[in-house]
Amino acid sequence: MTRRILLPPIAAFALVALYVVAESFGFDGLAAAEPTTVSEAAAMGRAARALQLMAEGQDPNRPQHIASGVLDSGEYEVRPLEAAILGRHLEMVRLLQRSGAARFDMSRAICFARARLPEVLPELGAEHAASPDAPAEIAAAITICMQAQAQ
Amino acid sequence: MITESDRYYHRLAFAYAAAVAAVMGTLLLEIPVQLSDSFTEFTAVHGRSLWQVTAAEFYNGTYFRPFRRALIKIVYDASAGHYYLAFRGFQALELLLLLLLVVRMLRVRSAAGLLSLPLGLAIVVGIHTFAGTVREGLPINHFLTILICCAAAVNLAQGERSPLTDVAAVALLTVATLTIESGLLIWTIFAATYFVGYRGISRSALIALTACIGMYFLGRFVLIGGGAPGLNERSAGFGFSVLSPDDLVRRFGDNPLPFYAYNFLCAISSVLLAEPRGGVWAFTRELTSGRPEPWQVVNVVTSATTTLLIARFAAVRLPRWRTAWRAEAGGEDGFDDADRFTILFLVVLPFNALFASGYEKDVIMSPAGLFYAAAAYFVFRELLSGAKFAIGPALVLVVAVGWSVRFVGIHDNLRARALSVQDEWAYYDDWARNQPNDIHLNAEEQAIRQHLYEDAVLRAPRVPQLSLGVLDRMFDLTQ
Repeated sequence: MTRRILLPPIAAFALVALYVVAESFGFDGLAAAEPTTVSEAAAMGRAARALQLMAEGQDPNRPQHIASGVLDSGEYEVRPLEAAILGRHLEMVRLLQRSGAARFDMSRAICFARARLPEVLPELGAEHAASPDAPAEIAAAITICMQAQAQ
Repeated sequence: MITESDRYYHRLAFAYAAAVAAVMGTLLLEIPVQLSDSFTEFTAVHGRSLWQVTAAEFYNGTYFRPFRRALIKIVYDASAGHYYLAFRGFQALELLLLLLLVVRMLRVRSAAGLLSLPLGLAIVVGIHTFAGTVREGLPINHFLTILICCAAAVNLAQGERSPLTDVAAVALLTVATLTIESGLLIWTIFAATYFVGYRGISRSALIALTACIGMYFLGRFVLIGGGAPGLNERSAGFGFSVLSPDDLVRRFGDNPLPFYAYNFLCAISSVLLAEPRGGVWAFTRELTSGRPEPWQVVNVVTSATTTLLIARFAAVRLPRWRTAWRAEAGGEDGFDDADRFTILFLVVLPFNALFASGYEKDVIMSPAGLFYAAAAYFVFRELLSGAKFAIGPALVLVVAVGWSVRFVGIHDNLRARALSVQDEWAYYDDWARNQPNDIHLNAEEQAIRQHLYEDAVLRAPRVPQLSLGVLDRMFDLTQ
């Protein structure tokens, strides 16, 4: 029985070693979803990845795809700054502004901020609004703000 | 007398340790040079000579760590601008050196020893006190350097006595004490190893080592006039929460002794039970609210059970230690390695805790964590060798599974660290704005900053975070 104490640590080492080797050959079976657009990175609060993708040429002032499972179960087309607001990443909003990702009409972003992240409103050039008890659901916020913009 | 089969087991043990270091080193190499506690070290050593860097640290108020920055300077100059490769590579090599020295001091020369080694090494790298030695760059992790010195000290003590060994012991103590305060533990290790029967160091050398300690205190506190850190320097855990420096001064400013005693006891408890952490009894707090995290349960149950095994072993051996002590004093072999390492752990633990009495932090207790792992290794080896000390096999299996989870957890932790350091650099402007002193960089320093920024953000390898579903909650990512 006591000899079995060897098995768990050996299995643990083999698991880690195998994963590291497999990963070097491109295996990503246990990897969490990696952002592929600046908007996805912004929605997830992955600052470095957002800057990487911008450096690779993605335009942070255009709407970009956000896959299902990133913000919620829905798929969206929003700008990175808007995605950061929807994901409630205040620092990310500021970083994107500093990085030149705020050169577009801010009305929709301000609408998102009112619903999801009121504390960022002054930095978007809008009047500060009292924080709601709880931020609006992402899908609801997007629907309301899209409709408001269409009108 | 070492036989060929002894050498066979020993070689296999070294190979296993090297494999563990290689896997962990691969993950270490994915972590960029960090911004906090690292970038400013680069600007501090840039454009100054090694002597200037070292000399300036002799008069650094409450901290006395001249060799810490000297080592950074040496690696910085050797890097020739390849900071990421040089500093991360150095840490990976330090890890390899540590594990090889640990295996050497464990003297794995039997099947039972070899079978116990994976669990022993899982404890060495999986214990929470070790995490800070690999997660943090600093940019050279002085806690990891001290662990190497600890293992090297035992190796020297186990070796053949010679004048060269004595000189090496004094050199090792000097380097360790001038690297960080807990380097003084090296003296404790030399003294304890001598008294348990490792006599690679002569009695004269032990006297010289003691004189070095006297000179250290004389030099630091009398000649240079340094002091100990005050309560107002940093936040610290107390009870179920963290107190700010102002709160600490308000509560303990008149009489800090209760606070120091609290930290001393917490440091010991943290090694033995994985609770509290950083002076905060988080597991107890969560338990009373009914919602401890799975990783907290794994940590506390594993550590408490392992401590129980070590305590049971010590209790069984205690009568034997009395006679063994007399035999060692008479120049004969009284203790075996299992006794010696258990005693070494019991000696190092309280001495190490003294260094945490001003400020309790997991990584400060890393030397005690190392000897805890060594003591546990010998308990397992004795169990596998057929020693009878009434321990249920189920209990041993709990320990083995628990430490294996923690072993996987530290690797997951390193991957998470790679991503957090990348993000740390992405927010450089925010970091610079929040520094207590304004950061004004000259052109050369700007170039260093840009180089490190590009290494961390633009050229960093793409390393996805692992996602193991519900199992993720088993891993302690707070370390």
